[in-house]
Amino acid sequence: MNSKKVYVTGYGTFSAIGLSLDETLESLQAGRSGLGRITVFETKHGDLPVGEVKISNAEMRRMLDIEEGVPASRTVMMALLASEQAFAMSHSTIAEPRMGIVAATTVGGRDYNESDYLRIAEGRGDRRALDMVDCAYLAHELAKRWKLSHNITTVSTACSSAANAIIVAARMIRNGLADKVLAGGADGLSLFTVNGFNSLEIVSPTGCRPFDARRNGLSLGEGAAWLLLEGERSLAADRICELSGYANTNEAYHQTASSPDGQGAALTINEALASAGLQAADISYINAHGTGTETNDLSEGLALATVFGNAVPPFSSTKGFTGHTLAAAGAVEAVISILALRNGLVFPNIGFSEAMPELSITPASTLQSANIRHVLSNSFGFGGSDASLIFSKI
Amino acid sequence: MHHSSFQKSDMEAYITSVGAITPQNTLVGDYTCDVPPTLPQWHCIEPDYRELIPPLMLRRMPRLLKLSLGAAQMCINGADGCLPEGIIVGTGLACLNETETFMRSLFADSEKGLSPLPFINSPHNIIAGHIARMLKNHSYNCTHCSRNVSFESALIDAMMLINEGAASNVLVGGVDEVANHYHVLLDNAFERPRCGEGEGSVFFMLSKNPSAKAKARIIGAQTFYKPKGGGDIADEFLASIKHRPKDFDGLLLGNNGDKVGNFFYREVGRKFELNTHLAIWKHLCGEYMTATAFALALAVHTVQTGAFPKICLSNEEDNRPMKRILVVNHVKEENYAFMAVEAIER
Repeated sequence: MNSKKVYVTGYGTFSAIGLSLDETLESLQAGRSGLGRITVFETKHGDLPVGEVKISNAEMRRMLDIEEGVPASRTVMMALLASEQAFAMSHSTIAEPRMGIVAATTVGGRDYNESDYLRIAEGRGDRRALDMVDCAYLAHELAKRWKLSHNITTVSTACSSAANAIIVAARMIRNGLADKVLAGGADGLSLFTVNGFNSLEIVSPTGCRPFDARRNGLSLGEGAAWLLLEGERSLAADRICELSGYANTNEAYHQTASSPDGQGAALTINEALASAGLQAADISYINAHGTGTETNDLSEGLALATVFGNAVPPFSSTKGFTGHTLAAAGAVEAVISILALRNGLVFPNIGFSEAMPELSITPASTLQSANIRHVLSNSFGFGGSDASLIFSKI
Repeated sequence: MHHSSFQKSDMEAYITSVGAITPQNTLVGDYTCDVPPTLPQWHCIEPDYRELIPPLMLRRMPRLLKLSLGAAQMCINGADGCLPEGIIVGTGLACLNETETFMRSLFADSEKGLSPLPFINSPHNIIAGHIARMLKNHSYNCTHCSRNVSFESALIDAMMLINEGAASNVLVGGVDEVANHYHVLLDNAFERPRCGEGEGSVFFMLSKNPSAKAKARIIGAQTFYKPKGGGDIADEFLASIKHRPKDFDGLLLGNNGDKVGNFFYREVGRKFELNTHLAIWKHLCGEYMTATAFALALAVHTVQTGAFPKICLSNEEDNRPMKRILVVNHVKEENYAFMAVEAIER
């Protein structure tokens, strides 16, 4: 089973730092953060730095040619746009491949209808919004767009959702259920998430500073990203890189916080390495979860020290670029990790200036060239849901 | 059929324990299912949770979590000490009540001074996360929220875990509760299902190897989203598990009283032999996104005893022993699923 390789044959991303892979790479190379005041979305928390996509819903509707009067959620629109990039890259080499979709989202289609939802009970508002409430709505809209009917599922594990979607998709291929699976996620800004994270008092009023001694919280983001995964039936020419390893473990520690000594995260990383048949020394770049919260960065930093000892490879959180894209993060950052792998680049951990006293390691603060054979991408979520992915050059 | 999307699946697993909190007396393992409906909304017959859930966890715990952890612990208790190496939950709406509470306060207070607790209780993975904490379990942990195939998606994930050798035992469950506000909205917007809106929490221990306690074998599961070909998807599923209609003794069908929806079940039923027993179950628990978890528990019970509870049968037939059953479900011609269960020959 573990000898059956899984390849990435297409990918796409849509976030505050780019509406295409080229734009995204360009922003990463230029060190240009996508964080800023909220200007498109309507909320009373507009001053919070957020990784907002500066495209209105109306503009997205135009980009997708959505008819007047047809309800469209921002989350779904970003997801559709990102999926087009992935499919455009991937040439179907198998005649009628058995397909699938594994999607991830916090918001589903709820961003369309948040205020409507409660008005419907009073006899007002758009009743079609009812169908858009749950997470499954995202996968369904993707299935309709790409005319798919088999192996459609949605996973929800908070901030590690899209990473877990990628893992489930890889296993669908390895277990013989599908040949080609679209895996990833999307989350648009919503009153629910903006206010939710704000109520937890873990949102930075000044912009996230991952792994910095004076970090003061996360910055939200929005976006969508997808990988197209295929197995050994794919043509060699279509394989971009290999998903060589992955792991899903649970902290079993606390409803929201990770184990402070980083043991939970260390377990996940070690299991991912073992699944890839790799040693710690084989990893040349780590794209960290690095939200900029006090707890995550401490536990993740300690975990890296535990796993990599004195030889922690260059690592960075790119949430200073995109913000924390919630359920989409695992996929947005998988795409960024693949860009790092393909271009031999370690992207900077923007927002960092002062080392944490508890750690002897610091993230990469400038763009670096590196010969990256294997890249590790971490996603650690509420509910103790930890996931790590390893992508490798072929 | 025009598409070649045939999956060939050798995946199978044993069901070695079941924990079910439902509107019937399944708490005590009674599947007579003679508890009458409490329309328009069914309510579970609940245990004393203090016997199942650690008191510190129980404090201020949302009801959905009590239902989940209660049934999960019942399942663990019945599994003779075998600990799961995977925890996978299917839930359509999770703690929607909590989300709605948060949203109401958000609008009432104009996005100011909100209590975070209902927000923290909103993510769908809260159930699987709590189970992991209750069992101190670090293994594979995932949540599927795929509307009416949430449970089957979780089940397939669990079967994959066993098939790939990553786990010998996996705890997999399907849980949803009636949500106060959501169903008020449904009442205003759409017709309620005639069988009523239901709820339930059913957990299974899936095992690689049959123990003496193994109750049944699950030999396949598959889901579809708005497939073409109507009832032909049943042929596709049977082909994938290398069976023919005559291999099945009974069908457990998800009729919920919706006349249009029944058309699919008749189409499927016609593919099977005349003396195949036809049974339904949603008149015993109501319609909800993970109602098929209850169906699986009922199917497991049926292949063990050899007969459906009389209250399930929609046709009076011979005494053909129920050794292999096909569970068939769809809701509003959108999400479709099949599960095949067979008795263990001893």
